[in-house]
Amino acid sequence: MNSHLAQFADVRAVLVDGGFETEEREFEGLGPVLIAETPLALVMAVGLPAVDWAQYLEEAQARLTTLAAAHPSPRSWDLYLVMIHDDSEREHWARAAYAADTRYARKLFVTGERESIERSLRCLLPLHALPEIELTDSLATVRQQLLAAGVEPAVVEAAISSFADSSKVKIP
Amino acid sequence: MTARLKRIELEGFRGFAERRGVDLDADAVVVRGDNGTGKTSLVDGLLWLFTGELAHLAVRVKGLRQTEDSITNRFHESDAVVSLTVGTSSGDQIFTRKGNQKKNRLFLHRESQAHLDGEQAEEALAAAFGLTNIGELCDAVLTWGLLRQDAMAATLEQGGASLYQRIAGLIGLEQVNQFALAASEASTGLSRQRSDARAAMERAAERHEDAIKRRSIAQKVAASQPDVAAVAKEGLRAVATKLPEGVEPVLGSWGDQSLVTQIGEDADLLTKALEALRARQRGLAAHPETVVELLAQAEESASLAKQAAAESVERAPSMVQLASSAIDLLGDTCPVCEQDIDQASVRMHLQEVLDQSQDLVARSREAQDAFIAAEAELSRARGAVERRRVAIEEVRKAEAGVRDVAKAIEDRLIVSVADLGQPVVEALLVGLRATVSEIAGLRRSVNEISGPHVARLADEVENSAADLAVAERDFSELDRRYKTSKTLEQAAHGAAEAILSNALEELQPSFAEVFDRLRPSVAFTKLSASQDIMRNRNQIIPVVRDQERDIDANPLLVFSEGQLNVVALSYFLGMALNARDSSLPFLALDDPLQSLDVIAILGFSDLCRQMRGQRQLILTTHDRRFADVLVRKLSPRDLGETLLVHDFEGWEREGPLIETTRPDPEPALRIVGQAS
Repeated sequence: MNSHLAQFADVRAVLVDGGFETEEREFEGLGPVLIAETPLALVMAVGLPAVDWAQYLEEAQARLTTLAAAHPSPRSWDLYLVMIHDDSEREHWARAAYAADTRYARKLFVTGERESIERSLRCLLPLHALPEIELTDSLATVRQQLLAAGVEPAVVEAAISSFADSSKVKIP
Repeated sequence: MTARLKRIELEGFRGFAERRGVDLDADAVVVRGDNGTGKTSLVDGLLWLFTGELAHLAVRVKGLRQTEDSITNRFHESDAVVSLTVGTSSGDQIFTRKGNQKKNRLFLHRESQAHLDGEQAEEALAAAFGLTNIGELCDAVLTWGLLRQDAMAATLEQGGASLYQRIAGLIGLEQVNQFALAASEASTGLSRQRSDARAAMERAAERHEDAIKRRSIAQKVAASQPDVAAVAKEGLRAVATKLPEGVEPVLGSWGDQSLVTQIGEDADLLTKALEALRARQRGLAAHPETVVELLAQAEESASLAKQAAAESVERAPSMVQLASSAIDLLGDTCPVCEQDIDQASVRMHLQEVLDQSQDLVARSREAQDAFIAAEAELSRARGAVERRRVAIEEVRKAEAGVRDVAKAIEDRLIVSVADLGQPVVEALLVGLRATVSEIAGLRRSVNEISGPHVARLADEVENSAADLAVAERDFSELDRRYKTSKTLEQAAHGAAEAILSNALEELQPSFAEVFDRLRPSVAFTKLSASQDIMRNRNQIIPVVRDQERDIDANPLLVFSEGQLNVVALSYFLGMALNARDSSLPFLALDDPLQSLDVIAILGFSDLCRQMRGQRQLILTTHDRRFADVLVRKLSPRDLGETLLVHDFEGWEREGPLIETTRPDPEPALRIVGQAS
């Protein structure tokens, strides 16, 4: 975890922003880990070591399932193991293979800056408050374009009003 | 928006024969079942109720004879009926659509309020979802309310224009597109008019140039002051050469139009007289001179036959009668001298005489027949001679006619017609025709060098100049209007481009919001959409990006079918998440995740958890694995959440066999903050 302190902080911040309650815990063989939960998901975030990370991952997964089993509920099916890694290109496909294995827990590999981390954890997070598309008066935009193109204002108004009245463009 | 779908009932519709009700009153509804158990019919029922049609089915039978109805159930005799109970702030409203593919009608039943039907019910349906008209509701349902099985993937497959149509519907671009279309139509019409005006202008210019040229020539000729008399004389000499030798026209003046006309009429008369003569001559040729000799021969034959017949008639009967009577009177003695008679010998002699006489009678009859035939031949010969005489008379009359005509025109030609033979007359006719033509040409030539002619040409130039000016003005006006229409069209396209560009900028995070959760690819982890304008046609091209390698690709070319389904779903849900205030309060997805891997299924399930608070979710799936994950993920974890699970366990002719469960909330135990 020590080598991923900054990213740990980002993971925690992202999860807290996403409505998770979090706490750090120390597990034997794993060191410090982050536990996070909502009624829908139980998350364990760990920093992957540079070597033997697969073995570390298996150990972390076992700890997470044990933890969930100690507090039985339907949420035991919603376990997420978040693994902070150093983005080694060499290990890319190995990580992909682990991510595809969703038995026991879903594995999310995160790295990089907060934005990247947030994208990787998005499945755990509520929907962003997306701006609703603002509907402008589309004919007003046409009017602006026409005036900008140098068309006489009287012609513009005649064309747009004829279209509004009859769905046909009449050019005086 | 407080509207919520509470219950749907279907009868005689698609896979539902007998009436079946499906409870929808939950924030998440999962319908699971094998293929063919009626799940899609349920979603189609919603679609039909909202829009009054199932366009995707109409397309399948397009161009075919419609022997079956795509709406009604094959095991149900009457019309289809779909009822939807919509809970609103003012109470439950039950909308019922009845009918078939060709005709249907919507009804609204409300507690303590007047029932509505037809357009009023349609408007009430739109109003229940905060929309102003049924058109808006249909657009909303089709754009982001209800996703039919494979519909979005099909949209992607159809290309960029199809995706553009969907997004255009979302952001209200139809009006701009319609304006562009109307401007284009105006432009096409004006282009046609302009072409016509250009052609008219070119014709006017040609006429004007021609008039100027002719005026210029006439002016030059007039300026040279030609000797009109000399020209006329020369022309008359040319005319004379066209006539037979010895024939000369009496032309007092080159400009005597009445004389030219008269000569033309003379030629016509001569032509007719000559034609009549030729016809009579042909008639005479049919009666040759030999008929006279034949008549003489016939007369002689008839005379001889007559004589022979007369003689035989005179002799034969008396001899026969005498011999016959003598035989009857024959006795033993002579009645005169009373001497004995050798009766046998006399009888024999008399019998011989009688036989000879009868032979004579037969020959007499033959002579009579020969006489009758000779008389007939004589009559025919006389007829032929008479006809020849008449033909000769007619030829003479026709010849006299030709001479009369020639005599009649004698006054206008210095020629004596008394001795004119037919060949000369015919040559005269040819000459007269040529004369008429030559004199007419001569008159034209002389007219062209006259003063009034030049003045006329000057007027013509002036008039053609005025016509040309009008044509130029018309063309210029149409050209201006055409160019304006093109500017309007371009501006509309520009506006559409600008609006879409802004809209895409706002939509991109929504696409990513969904795509990031489903993660269909290890390499291409970002989804966006780019605008591409080709020949004024807006298209939206899907783009996926490998962020580590900075490589963009079109998912249609690099993704599998399952991955493409994720792309399609990301666009649809992205648009639904971004939809404007008047968006629908529900999201119905028919078998949305086909051919997906487990990561995408889990991601979609997690996404549904997040969306259920914003939209009422109605999800169908045939995939047991996905259905189980979905049910588990959507099972309520606190008291505020509700889930309905409809298991379509099979299908029989009456309709689907449905089992419904409503899982109870099962809250999770807290771990954080508890002692480890």
